[in-house]
This record gives sequence, structure tokens and C-alpha cells, in this order.
Amino acid sequence: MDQDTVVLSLRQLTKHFGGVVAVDGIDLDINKGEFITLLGPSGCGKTTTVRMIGGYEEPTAGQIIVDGQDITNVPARDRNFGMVFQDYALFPHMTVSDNIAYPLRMRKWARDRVAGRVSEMLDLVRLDGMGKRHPWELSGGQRQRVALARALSFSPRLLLMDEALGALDAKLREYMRVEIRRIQRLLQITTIHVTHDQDEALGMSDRVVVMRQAKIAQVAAPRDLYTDPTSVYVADFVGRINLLWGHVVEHAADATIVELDDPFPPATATRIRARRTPDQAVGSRVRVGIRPEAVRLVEGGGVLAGVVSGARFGGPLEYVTVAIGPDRTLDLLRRPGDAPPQGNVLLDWAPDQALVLPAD
Amino acid sequence: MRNRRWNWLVIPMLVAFATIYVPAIVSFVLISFHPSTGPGSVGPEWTLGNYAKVLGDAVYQTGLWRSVALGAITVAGSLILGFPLAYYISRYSSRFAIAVFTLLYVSSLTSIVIRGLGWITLLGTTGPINGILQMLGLIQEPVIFYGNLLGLSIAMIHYTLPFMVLTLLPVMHAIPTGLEEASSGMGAGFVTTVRRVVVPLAMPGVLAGSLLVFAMTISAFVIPRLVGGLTLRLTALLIDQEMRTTYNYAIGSTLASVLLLLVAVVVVMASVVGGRSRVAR
Ligand SMILES: Nc1ncnc2c1ncn2[C@@H]1O[C@H](COP(=O)(O)OP(=O)(O)O)[C@@H](O)[C@H]1O
Ligand SMILES: [Mg+2]
Repeated sequence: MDQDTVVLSLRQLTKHFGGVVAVDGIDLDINKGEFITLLGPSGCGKTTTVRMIGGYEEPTAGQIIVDGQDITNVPARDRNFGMVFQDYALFPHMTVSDNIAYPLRMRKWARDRVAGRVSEMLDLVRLDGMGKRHPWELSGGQRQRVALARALSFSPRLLLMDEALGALDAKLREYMRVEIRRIQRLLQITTIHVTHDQDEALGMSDRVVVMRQAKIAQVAAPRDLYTDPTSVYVADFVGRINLLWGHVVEHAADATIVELDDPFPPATATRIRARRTPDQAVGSRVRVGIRPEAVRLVEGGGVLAGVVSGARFGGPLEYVTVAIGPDRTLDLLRRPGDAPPQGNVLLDWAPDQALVLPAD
Repeated sequence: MRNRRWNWLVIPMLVAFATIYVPAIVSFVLISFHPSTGPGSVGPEWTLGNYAKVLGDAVYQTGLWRSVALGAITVAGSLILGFPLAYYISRYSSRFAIAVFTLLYVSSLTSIVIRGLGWITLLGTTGPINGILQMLGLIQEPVIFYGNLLGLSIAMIHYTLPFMVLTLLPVMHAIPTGLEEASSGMGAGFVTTVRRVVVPLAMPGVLAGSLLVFAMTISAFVIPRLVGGLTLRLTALLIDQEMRTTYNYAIGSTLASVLLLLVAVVVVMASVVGGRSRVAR
């Protein structure tokens, strides 16, 4: 895969609906063969962005550039992009085969070439033998695969998917994540996928674009996004995180020292060592974020003391909630022991696991 | 609602039909099988003579053909005008589309007599339509609209258009716009999308609207009487003449039965076509 060739560029892409700013000046470069996911809560502008890329929505300002060509004003039908819509948009009056053949017939392919490609596509999405059925005779997962086959049949330059897995139940969704990635890698097709489901985004993508209120909050590979979020928003949206208030006291050689603001029980150290983050100036107000799985229960020492206030068993892992102040708790995630912990406990974590994030 | 529990809700309608409409239909169908024995009376014996007379007589034949032709022309005209209009109204919720719809709706509420008289004025040889056509240089002599199928078709299309549009609208609304977007995204132009996606999915509405307009047209009386005049002897006008002028109940009933049969045949044909193009969901 040629990772460095930019296929699609968004330049200051903007969309207003009357007074509503749906997309606010987005810049993004997408590489050839990449699987990129737009992630964010409902209403943050994901659908509008992907619809502008597809040519279904006219940008208010900005440009869409494909292979160096400005296609901002090219109509959808001339863009040659495949799109899987949220509700699949399959034609109910056509069979599965006719749905998949539709873009090929629009391109005036010869009859036997169409038939050949349709059967290839049915194989690819594992629907061989289903060609003569109508969409309403299929299950949700099968329909989803027909939509995918139809979007890919004409070898589009780009594949767009808007919440394509949203209508499926959990098990099927997990299966389709793997399937879609298999097909995407096989065809090496550059893909832009939209979801509000962080598991889906982290599990499928080469890179994730986290969106917040019509803007991009952060673009990173899933692992980096999780371990190195640049804002409280991203840290909180991607996975769970415990957040404490504080201010920077000092940047040491291997850590940033933060004085915690929260009222803590007497005799608890309120100065903690966190990941070295020199771009937060000394004295500035920050949030310290610790992932639940980074917090350990220890016999002696530790960073904070607390009292166990609850535990939730969840199969291989359990969440334990510890009260660390009058109205503040901290969650930790661990392998369940013989019995849930009780009473007074000491909490510890590696300084590098405590993220220093801007207070916003 | 698939639940049988609610079936009783149709009982009032069935009772009304069984006590009022069905006896009326049955009585004139029965009369059509008895010979006329003078003004306002029929004899007790059974006969097919009325049908032989009606189907063999040039006046009645011409009347039937004209009624069917008028029905077909009106269906075609109201579809050609109504389909794009219904599509436009269902797709663009602009203020203009709403105004067009309101205008159409209100015009369908206007008295049919007033509309018929309006068309007489508009279509007259010195009326505004001829005036405009002459001004544009499209015609030298005034076109005669009165007393022929041309003028009558124009008036009937106007009369039936709101019914066509109101029948098509809910069907158009039910077609997700996403299908049209998907079609264009796959390389189809607007015309192709309409032909391959919108029209097939709107077919149930097209059939229902066409049936309604056809049935309305071949049984229409007021507008044909006003705009068609006395020379254009459509079946509906002939029925009126037999029933109220010559009091030949036998022939009047026979003509009515033939019209009824005609509508029934069209309904059956339409449901066969509709059954083939049916899509679930
Ligand atoms: N056609 C539209 N007309 C008016 N407002 C719209 C339209 N489409 C989207 N919006 C608004 O734009 C914002 C972003 O919407 P959308 O792109 O659908 O978000 P997402 O897909 O992330 O849920 C929302 O506030 C939404 O209400
Ligand atoms: Mg959306």
C-alpha cells in the first residue's frame, strides 16, 4: 500500500444550513488505500461531511480535491464514488442482482460483463445464490452486504459509508466489521466510514477523525488516539477516563508534577507525578486523566487513598468504583479476584499513565 | 393493522353498501334484461334484446367509443400533467410548491358547474385562449373547442387533475429520496432516475389515479353537457336522455350496465398489471 499518496483532500470544507453550521472549515488529507473513520456524537457533522464528499450536498465554502483535481462542483453521478447509505437505499423493485448491476448498466457495460461482475460481487460479499431475491426477502445483514456489493461493483475511486453498520444487532455488527475490512484490504479501496460507535472506529480504522461540533478535534491512528488524546473531549469520547482537576507545579525530567484541586481526605498526598507534558505551562489549570485499566490496588504506598463504594462484575473484567473525596469517585478496571475489594484501599498508577490535558 | 379484531370497523360501510348502493345497481342491471313496454315501464319477460340494440346501434356505439376515448385521453392528459406536478410537490417543500398544491386543492373544491361554464368562456372562438393563440401567430382562424372532444378533453383534464395529483402524492411521498440520491451517485442522470426508480415505485399510485380518473370521466355528466354540447353524444348523456327525456328505462339501464361493465373490466386489467409490478414494503 502506497501510504503517502494523498487521494482525497478537504480544504476548509464548510456547510451551513440556514443559521446552523453543520461543518466548520474542515481540513483533511486521506491517503490511497486508507480506511479512515469519522467519529463523533450525533449532530457533529459527520453525515454532512461524507455527503459533501459524495456530491449529495453542496458545500457552502471550501474545496474537495481528488487526485489533485478540484471536484467541488462535479455532480455526484460523475464522481465515481461508491456509497453505502445508512438505510442502504436498495431499490425495492429490483432483485439483488439488478441492484448490483445498476451502476454497471449506467456505465453501459456489455450484458455478459455485467453478469460476470455481479456474480463476482455476490461471491465477494458471500451472497452467492441470493441474486434472484428482492431486498425485502433478505435479513438486515444480507441487505447491508448487497449495499456494499452495489457500492463496489463498478470499482469506484472511493468508498463512502454512513453509519453502515448502525442498523445491525451487536453480534452481526462485529462480524461485519471484520468482513468489511477483509473486502477493503482485498480491493485496496480508499474508504471513508462514518460512525458514532467508538469500538467500531477503533476496531476498523487505519486512522480515526474525531469530530466535535462541526470541527475536527483530533486525527490519529486508533492506538495513538487512545493513549495520546490531546483533549479531554477525545479522551472521554474514546474509551473511559477518570478526570481530576489540578494545576501544573513543575516539569521534572521524567514527569510533570500536578497539584490536585479536589478536596481529599487528610493525610493524602495531593501532589502527583504525571506524564511529562511540557506544553502545559507551570501554573496553568489542567485536567489529569487516568484510564480505569491503569489504576491498580496496592497494599502500601500508592498515589491516592479511598473507600470502595461499588463494584460491577462484567465477565472477564470488573469495574470497581472508589470514593476518593466527599463527592468524587474514581473507576478502576481489573481482573475480578475471588471477591470484590471492600473498605479502605490504596490506589496507584504509573506516572506515564496519568495524562495532563488542557482544562478547555 | 393485520389484527382481525378490528374487522368490525368496516361493518357500517358494508351495511350502507348493502342497503343503498347494491339494490340500486342490481335494480338497473335487472331492468336491462327486460323489454321496454312504453315510456317508464318494462315488461316481465327476460331478454337480451336491449344489449343487441345498444351494441348494434350506431348512435350508442359512437357514444361508447367517444366515452372510452375521452376517458383514455383524460387519463393520459392528467397523468402527463399530474405526475411531474406531484413529484415536484413531494420533493420540494418550497413555498412555491405549497402554493401550487393549495391552488390545485382549492380549485378541486370549486363547483363543477362553475368550472364548466368557465371553460366555455375560456375556450370560445372569441375567448382568451383563441386570442392568445392568434396573438402568438400559432393559428389564423379561431380553433373551435366547443362541442368536440378537444375542448371537452381540456376541461375534463382540468376537472380530474386534482384527483390524479392527490392520489399520486402519498405514493410519491413514500418513495425515499435516498433512492434517487443512490441512483445519481451510481451514475444515473435525472431522467434515468425518474424512469428506472421513481416511475416503477410510483406505479401503484399511477394505476389508482388512472382508474379513478377513467371512472370519473366516463360517468361524467355536467362538464360533457356544458362543454361538449348536445352534438357530442357520450354514453353518460345518452343515459340521461333515455331516463329523463324518452323514459326508455330499459335502454337507459342497459347503457348504464355497459358502462359499469367497462369500469369493471378496466379495474380487473389494472389490478393484473398492478399485481405484476407489486413490491412489498
Ligand atoms: N438538511 C438539513 N437541514 C438543516 N439542518 C441540517 C440538515 N442536515 C443536517 N443538519 C444539521 O447539521 C448538523 C450536523 O448534522 P449531521 O451531519 O447529520 O450530523 P451527524 O451525522 O454527525 O449526526 C446538525 O445540527 C443537523 O441538525
Ligand atoms: Mg449522521
